[in-house]
Amino acid sequence: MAVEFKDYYETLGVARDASTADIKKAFRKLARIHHPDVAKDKKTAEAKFKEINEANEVLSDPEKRKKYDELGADWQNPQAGRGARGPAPGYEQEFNFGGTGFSDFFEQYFSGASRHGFPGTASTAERGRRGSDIEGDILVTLEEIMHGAVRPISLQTTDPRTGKTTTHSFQVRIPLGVTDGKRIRVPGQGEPGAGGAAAGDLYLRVRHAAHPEFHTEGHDLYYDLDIAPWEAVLGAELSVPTLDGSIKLRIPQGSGNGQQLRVRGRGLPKGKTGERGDYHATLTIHLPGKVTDEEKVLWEKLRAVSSFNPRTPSA
Amino acid sequence: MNPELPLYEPDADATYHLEIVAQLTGISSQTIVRYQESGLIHPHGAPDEFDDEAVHTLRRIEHLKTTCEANLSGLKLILDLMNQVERLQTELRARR
Repeated sequence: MAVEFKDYYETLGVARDASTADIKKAFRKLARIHHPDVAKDKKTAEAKFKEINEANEVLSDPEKRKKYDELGADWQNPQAGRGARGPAPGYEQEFNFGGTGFSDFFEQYFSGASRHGFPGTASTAERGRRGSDIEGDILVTLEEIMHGAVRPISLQTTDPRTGKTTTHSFQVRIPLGVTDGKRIRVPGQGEPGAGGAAAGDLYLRVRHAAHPEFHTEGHDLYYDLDIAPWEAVLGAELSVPTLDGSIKLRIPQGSGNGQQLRVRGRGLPKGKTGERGDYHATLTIHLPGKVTDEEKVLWEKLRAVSSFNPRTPSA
Repeated sequence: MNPELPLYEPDADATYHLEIVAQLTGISSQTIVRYQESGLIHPHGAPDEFDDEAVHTLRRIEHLKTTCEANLSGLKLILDLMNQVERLQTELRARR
């Protein structure tokens, strides 16, 4: 299959020797700009958001990044980077996914798509042989998980013996609230069976697309909330984003750095039950970099009256 | 949505009775129960109910038995390792 090389460094606008932290920073910055919820042109933004996510998927993973760097100039060599699917050459059918949210280039080298099932042997082949199951990743945005979505998928298989290529196109409804790493089974869309036997199934392993604001654990949603020292000490009421609108969050007096505040039922839906996971805001207290003369006077006053010393055991 | 393409609506929480799992996998009920007793698969919700993850594991087991000629203890070891690797990969991915 003809695939187009993807320059992931260019996609994220980082140097080839960029650190993991730089990559994360660049990804978050771009993801905020191109997030389909914020951008005006939703269609273009969605495509761009998936591109950024794919680049991040490869470059933020040391193993995938190493493989990508090695692939470099050699990427057109048909043997380069192969092996993830490990089909015996000239024996099993080759397959390629479309519509998984990843490019053909990613699918070919990084997806880890695999098959498993019943390899044909003389004795089983006589009775007919059920097709192998095929497994691949599908990149799903948190918005798709929150509100549900229908994704067009295509699976192209090439029989190396005949060179015949067959494409199956179908649509899959992404189950509401499906968790990261969960496999969803699409019956009968795996490898066709032989001798009248049933086709294998297709397993799509759900991968939550990285989001600029949130990350997930199961059905729970996590948000990093930056606050000022006085908000932590005195308490505050702040407006924070969730996947379905902003909510008011009360920061209790005397909150600490790294403290988590939980809001019940504002995470991802738990299937069709109507229940939802929780929302957690993790507090990070930031200190002002520059202070005005007036602020300096106030900090000095605070120093003079405060008995607080972080280096004493009781602090 | 394209009305001309077939639409699949998988239920992520679906569970199947032992007999259905036997039909889905082509593995006999007795063998499935044996795998369950050996701790290779676990029921979901009720003692005779299994989810898609169990169906997937059963297919994996058949594949490993055929290609690696693994016995029960071999299967247990390989599946444990595969599950651990997958769990760690997911955890690592979430941390990045």
